[in-house]
Amino acid sequence: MGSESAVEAVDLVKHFGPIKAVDGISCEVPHGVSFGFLGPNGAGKTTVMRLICCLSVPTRGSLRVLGMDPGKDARKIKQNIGIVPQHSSLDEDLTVQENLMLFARYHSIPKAEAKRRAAEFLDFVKIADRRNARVPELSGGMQRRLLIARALINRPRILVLDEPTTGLDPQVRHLIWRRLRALKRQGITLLMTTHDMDEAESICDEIVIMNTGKVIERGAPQDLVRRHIGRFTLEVPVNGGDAEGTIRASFEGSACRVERFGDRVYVYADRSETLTGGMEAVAAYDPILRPSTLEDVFLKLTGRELSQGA
Amino acid sequence: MHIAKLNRFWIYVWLRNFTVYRRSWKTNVLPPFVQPVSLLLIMGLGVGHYVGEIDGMPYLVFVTAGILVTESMLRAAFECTYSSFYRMKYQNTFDAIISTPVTPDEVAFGEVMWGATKSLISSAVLFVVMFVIGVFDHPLALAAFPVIVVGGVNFAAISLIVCSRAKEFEHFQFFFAVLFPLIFLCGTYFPLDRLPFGMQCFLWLIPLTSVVDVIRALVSGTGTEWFAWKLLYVFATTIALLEIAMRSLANRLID
Repeated sequence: MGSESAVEAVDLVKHFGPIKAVDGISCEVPHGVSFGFLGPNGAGKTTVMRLICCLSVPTRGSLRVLGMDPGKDARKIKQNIGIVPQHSSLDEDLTVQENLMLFARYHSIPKAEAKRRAAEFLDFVKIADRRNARVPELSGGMQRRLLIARALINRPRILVLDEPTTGLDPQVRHLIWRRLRALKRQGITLLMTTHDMDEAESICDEIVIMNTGKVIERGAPQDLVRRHIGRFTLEVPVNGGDAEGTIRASFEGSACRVERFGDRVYVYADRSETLTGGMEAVAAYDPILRPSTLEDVFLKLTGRELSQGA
Repeated sequence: MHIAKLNRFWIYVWLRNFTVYRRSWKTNVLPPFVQPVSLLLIMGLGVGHYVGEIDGMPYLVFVTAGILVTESMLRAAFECTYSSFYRMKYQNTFDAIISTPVTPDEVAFGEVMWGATKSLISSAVLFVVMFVIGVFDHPLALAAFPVIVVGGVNFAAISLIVCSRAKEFEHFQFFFAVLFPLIFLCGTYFPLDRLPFGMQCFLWLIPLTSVVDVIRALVSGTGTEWFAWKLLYVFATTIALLEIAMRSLANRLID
């Protein structure tokens, strides 16, 4: 088991009736990396996660999790993974502490050990002082942190997170990110879906971008930015004007690419000088020069699809 | 066979429900106590006053089996429809459980056993009351208790099958619309032999009819025809329904 990947999917397919939720995905996640699945809603990210967590049965293709086959060894796989769902599945009738003890029992962890772990992980996600609160008394951010503590109770080798910080305030988001990075340092493999490009850039070593059930791009976040966009982006709000032509003309012949999405024109280049050179011509539009982000890559790769689909 | 692959993990599901139940046991125990006891008084003493005897036994004794089984069935049915559905759909409890080593089969089995436990609690209370007021006066009546327990599993399993196929709470109205007439038709409050032959045949297919008949034979001490076959039928349908409930919930939880 030691030499194999944490997850290995070959030509994985999942259909729901006529809908091809996952349409032939192959990917390999090495042990100890943090791996992100990005993509617009309905791209198939959550379905891939469900397949990995043995909560869904593939239509075709092969899948191995920690070297095991989900069709045969679901119980053993689930002993070694922790799942943080997008929607709370905490037990609202019980307290914070009881929720953890309950999960420890599902994992057949002896009571004394479960108590030790509950204390350890409540402390880890910084809600130890709310140990006796009932779940409905917790804020959304605390509930999410409790879900993370709960998913760690079996000391999983893989932690699966479905949009771990969606809907949370910036303080909690950053706290969760720090905790996830700490887990990664401990050697836990992180698999997450996210819409949040900051999250993907700050946590993930490697990402795949999915659209309509297929992987359309993969790599380290910074490599993807360099490959698709260039390191710098000039963002020009044109507000429906005919400035696109002017902009295209002023960057004619320089090492950059011009694209328009909605009411903004984007000029991408690898060197900031390339962009500052042409900035004067569009100064009237208050252009913004900034480092390129994963979001630029994401919009470039999936943006048009979305506007057609939406 | 799903039922053959079952192991101890289902107990954790049962324990989860028990933990929650324990917190509010007073509100949980009192209503199931009041309702059947008043029914016993109304039917036994009120209606019984006009009816006199049925099948050679006082109506109070005749109707006792009906009330025990009605009570047991309703508890199991409510628990494994409304309550299980609430846990499944609104609290995501089942999704949480199957993200651990516990399988959907074990969730189904644990839920059915919990529904049966709820029905056992209230029939136990009722049983004691019946002994105290002297409805039963012979030790053979005690033998009815295990049959009530198996009947509770039977009813809980049927209810969980319905639950695992429901999309909304409203769908249970169809189930209870069928259930309520059956409560009266399956030999609970009056003997089946007054009904048309075709209908009797249909009603004997429903496990409830055999459960009532067997329990009545035991509590009244008068016995019944085909006793062993009826008992066997109750056991066999219980196993079959458990298997269906496990498959049905597994299909719902794992896509």
